[in-house]
Amino acid sequence: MNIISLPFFLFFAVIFALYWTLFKNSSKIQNWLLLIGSYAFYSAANIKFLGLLIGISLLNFWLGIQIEKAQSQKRKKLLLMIGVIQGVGALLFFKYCNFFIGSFNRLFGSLNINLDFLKIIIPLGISFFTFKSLSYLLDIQKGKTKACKDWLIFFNYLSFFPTMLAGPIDKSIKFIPQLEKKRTFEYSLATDGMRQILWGLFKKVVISDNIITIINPIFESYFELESSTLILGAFLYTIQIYCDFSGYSDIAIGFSKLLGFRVTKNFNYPYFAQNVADFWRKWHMSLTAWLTEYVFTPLCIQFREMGNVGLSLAIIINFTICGFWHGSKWTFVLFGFLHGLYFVPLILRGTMNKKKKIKKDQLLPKPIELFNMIKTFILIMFTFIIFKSDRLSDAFGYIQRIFTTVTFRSPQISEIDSDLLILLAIGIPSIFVIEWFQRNKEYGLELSSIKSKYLRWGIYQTIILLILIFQAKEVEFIYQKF
Amino acid sequence: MLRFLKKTVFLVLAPTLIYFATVEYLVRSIPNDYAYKSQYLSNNGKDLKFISLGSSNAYYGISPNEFEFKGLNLANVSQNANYDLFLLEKSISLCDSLEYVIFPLTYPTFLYDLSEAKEFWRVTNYNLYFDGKFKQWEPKFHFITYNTNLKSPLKRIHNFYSNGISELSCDDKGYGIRPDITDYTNFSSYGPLYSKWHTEMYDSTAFIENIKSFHKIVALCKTEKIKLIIPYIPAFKSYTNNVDSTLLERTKAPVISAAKKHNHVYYLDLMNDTRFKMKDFYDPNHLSTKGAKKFSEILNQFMHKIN
Repeated sequence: MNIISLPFFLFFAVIFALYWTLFKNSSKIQNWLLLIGSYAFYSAANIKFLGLLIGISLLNFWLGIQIEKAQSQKRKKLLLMIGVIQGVGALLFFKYCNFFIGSFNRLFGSLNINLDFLKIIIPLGISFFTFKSLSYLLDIQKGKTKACKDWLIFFNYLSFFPTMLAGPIDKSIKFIPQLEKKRTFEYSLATDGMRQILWGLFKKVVISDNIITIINPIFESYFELESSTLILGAFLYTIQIYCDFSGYSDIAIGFSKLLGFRVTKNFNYPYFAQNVADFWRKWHMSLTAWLTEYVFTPLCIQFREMGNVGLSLAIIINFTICGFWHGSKWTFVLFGFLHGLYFVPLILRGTMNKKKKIKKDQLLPKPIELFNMIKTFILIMFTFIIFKSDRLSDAFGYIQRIFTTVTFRSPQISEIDSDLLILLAIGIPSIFVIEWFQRNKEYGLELSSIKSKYLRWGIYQTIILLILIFQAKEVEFIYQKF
Repeated sequence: MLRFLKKTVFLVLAPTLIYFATVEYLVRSIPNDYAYKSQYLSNNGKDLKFISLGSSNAYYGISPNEFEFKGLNLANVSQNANYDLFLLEKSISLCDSLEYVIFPLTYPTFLYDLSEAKEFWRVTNYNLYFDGKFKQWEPKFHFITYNTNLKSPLKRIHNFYSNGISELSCDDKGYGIRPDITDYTNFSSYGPLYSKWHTEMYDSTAFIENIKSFHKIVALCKTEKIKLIIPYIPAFKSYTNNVDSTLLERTKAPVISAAKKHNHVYYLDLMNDTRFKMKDFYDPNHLSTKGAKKFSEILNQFMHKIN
């Protein structure tokens, strides 16, 4: 069930109505409703893996309590190891089994050895609920949080349906207390959620899904195209992945708000970043925070005696893991590795942690800020070519052709509806302009500063109309695959 | 909570429903083939001597104006046997003097189910204009605006209500009209492509269901004492030479068998009929205006013969 389909909206309406009317007096019954709803939602996608989700929830619930109870550090570590092996093992098995089979087949293809029969289906959302369970156990072991004693709450934490399939990855320390307390309906939070859903829908169905019709043909036949078209394809993909993923996050956060939950922010206008370090503080923030806490920081401690070399090594490993987390393709690994590499000059100059903040009340970016934004955008854009490509050879071929086929001809986009081109020519700059002026707000459509309610309603109606008129064919969210 | 619900209904749900309802109403009201044929059947059904069923091959291939009998072409693009049966049942209830039913056969006739095919949205037309009950609980088969964004219906509304461009593309007897082509250079290359495309549409479940519908058509015609004429519509050799021979035999077999078994069923295999030359085709799988005239005359003569 896609979270932007009519069946999901109806499903959510039923949950919402029961949650805030019949069940409003008991957080326990609300939690029961949420869990049943989450499992129904997960089963609608693929019922086969519901048992796996329940099994993982059960094991981690038990491990959490046992780690807390354990008297010795040795036993705590042993129990933690079981959890880590289960989590990382399941992730490796389901996400990377096919990758290793594919690599094995390529390596031994000439000997007629083929292991395709061992290929498996990846359970939806496994990357997200595994990271949640890992951080939960690690935090208990370090004494940062207490083990959850109520299985209903813990199961809900791992499977909360609005964020289950593609995040944001909430830490237990932030989310579990919200499940424990009594929730009362907050008008301002709910309307805020509705606005955020609307903004997410606009980015996803009007911008992202319409861009696909242009970029897919470009990436599929890059070997026949010239530089300008390839640059346009890369540019549009960079916009598309942002609108798709941040759109999803806005929708997921919005639905969470409607149920009374405040979920971790996942994007903070990343294309206004001043350098790559700044970009990662603004892009997929919940994953970056997770990796920083559980991978990068321990690695830094490990390599602390090596100075900048150690720091560079830690960041490269961290980002290579980040790339590998996305899935079983060498292009993802290279994507992560390159991002790690981008940090090295910043580390050497000592500017990695220097936050270059653009002033809140600044009408336009300063020339140097604009230059930094464009420079960072271009660096990111090249890595997204790799991210989008199926094979490394395609990625290299695409980038090579950008530099070897420069003819100064305008991009050749065939068979594209002129209405679509006009929509994107207006829509994409509009997103940038709106987000620039709203950059201090949580999301682009937070219009609390507009005093006239008629103007606000007019803007909402315009966006609803734009969604209804220009929504493209239903396209799966990119990050739902991860 | 109440304030939130009021605001949601007033600001989001009500305007969205109003947009959809207005566009749905306006787009449904644009004259189109399905609405016209349904209306024609209701108003003139009692005078009809024959109807022809089938998909685009029949829609563009049989012109009732070329017949000496009064008839109506009830074929529509991508219409498969299940919908043919439905239209036949509908026609029988409205036509007192129906004597012939033409059920044209083509290679893909039994291969697919329209509701599962690329053009699934056409099912909506049978539900809307012929009071069909297909897929009753799935909104995508009942609302035009459900399957698309509002851009396309708004364009259609603008074209009709502002520019007067109707979507009716058939003549007064339901025969599909389109300008003929003058360039035949792609005939040899398009033939294999079309046949491959049709072969890829094969769905084993749909095939069985379509054959069942065909047998029901045979039985219904027998009960109503109607002569069932099943002509294989001519196709160009670049197409016929590239169809899957096993699937073609499986398509023809139940028809040939029915024609042998029942006196009221007549099968005419015109698939590779040499009377049809290149200019009789619009593309390797469809007849041109000239070809349709020729094909209709052949059928007319045949109906006289068996009268």
